[in-house]
Amino acid sequence: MYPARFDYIRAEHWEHALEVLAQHGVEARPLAGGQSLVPLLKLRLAQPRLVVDIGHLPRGAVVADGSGIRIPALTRHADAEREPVLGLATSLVEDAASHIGDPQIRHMGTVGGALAEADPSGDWSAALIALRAEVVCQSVRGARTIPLRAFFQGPYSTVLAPDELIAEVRIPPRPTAGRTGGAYLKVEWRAGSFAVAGVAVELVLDEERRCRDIGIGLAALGPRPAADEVVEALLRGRPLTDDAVADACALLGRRLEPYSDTRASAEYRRALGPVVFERTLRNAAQRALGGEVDARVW
Amino acid sequence: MSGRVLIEVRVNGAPYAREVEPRLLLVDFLRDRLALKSVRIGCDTSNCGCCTVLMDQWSVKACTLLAVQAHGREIVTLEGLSRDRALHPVPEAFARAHALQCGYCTSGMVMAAVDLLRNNPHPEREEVRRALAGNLCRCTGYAPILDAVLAAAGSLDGADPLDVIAPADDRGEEEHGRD
Repeated sequence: MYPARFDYIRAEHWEHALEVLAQHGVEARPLAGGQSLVPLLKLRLAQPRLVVDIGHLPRGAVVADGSGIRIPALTRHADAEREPVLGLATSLVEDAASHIGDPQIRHMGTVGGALAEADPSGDWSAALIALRAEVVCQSVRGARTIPLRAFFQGPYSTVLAPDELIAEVRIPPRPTAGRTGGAYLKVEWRAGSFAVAGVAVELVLDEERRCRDIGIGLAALGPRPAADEVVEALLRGRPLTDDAVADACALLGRRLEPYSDTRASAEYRRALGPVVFERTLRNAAQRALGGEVDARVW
Repeated sequence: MSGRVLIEVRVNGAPYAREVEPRLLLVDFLRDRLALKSVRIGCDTSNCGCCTVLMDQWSVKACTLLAVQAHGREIVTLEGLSRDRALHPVPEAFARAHALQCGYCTSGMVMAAVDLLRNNPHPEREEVRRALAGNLCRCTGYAPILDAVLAAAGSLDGADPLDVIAPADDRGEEEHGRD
């Protein structure tokens, strides 16, 4: 299948792209890496009158400072996978970014594009939700910062206005007390490596292996990328004993609202989710305690 | 309705300037406008990797890019690896390892392998598997393909696979004509 005809504007700079989007609104779609948009165009699920190309604009550098870590929206998955600033701060980003798609897709796809696509199985979305990240969104009307946990409205749906672009992702400063570890695991559908069930956990332990804080992000386990704040509350302050982990897994399984699609049934996801969660939680704890983990799901 | 756009792109070392519809996919630009038939369409769903080329020295799927995204960039296809009937070490290793049967996935596999070997000249077998995750083969069962890539790594022995090509050919316009 082939894209329908569209007009094309190659943005000269970021503000130019914002002006074009303000002028054309819902009839325009921004093009970053194209790894979500081009397949949609080919299927004619998207038929914009205008495509605004921002993919060639300067990417900007990942920066860590006192306010946390800032990831420019045009950062490619492959760049994020290898970025030392991110690797030092958390294992979660490398785990998630390195398992998106395949190398060719990771060479073009961007974090901003992935978040804007809001695929329920999105790897970045789950990892960044676990990290309690925010997105900075810009338009000609100004900028606003939105917590990622409030960003997704449903499958492929976000709170972004038609004239808005994600400009950057902000990860809060890493905790200074306690021992932090993160992990992302997913069971994947072989073609395209989409998550059938993916779980991201960012964990802070104290010296008695008690959970000081935890963030849980879910991929492909509900209609939109989401945290599980009830399971987070269950574990916060508790020692991570086998009983505590078992309780948390059981609670997660009961709370899931999984969907059926061509890759898996809802029942399969409900059974699989807690298993992936347990392994991810144990990997995060292992890393928090300074150990190595086998980052394969089985 | 959709105005044509001028793109300037270097392909296999030669410069081209062409007017294209914005919706033209890079794979069709390379196959139909530049007659580079090694770049194949296998799935239309961005899974199979038969369309894999190098763009600015990163492997990409040409079916999942618009030609306009290649403006100002440099593309290398399988045709750009070998000159004057002398096989480049990577496709040669494929031939020797019997790493192809129907051959349809082969050009994409070779380009993905070149991308790997540029960044990781001495990969482990597991790393080769991961690097070829975006390329599907229905014939060989993959084992001889992995053997071929490891053998190519041996024969390149750390040399950049893109440095083992004949010098750039600036006869691009003459060789491929105008359309």
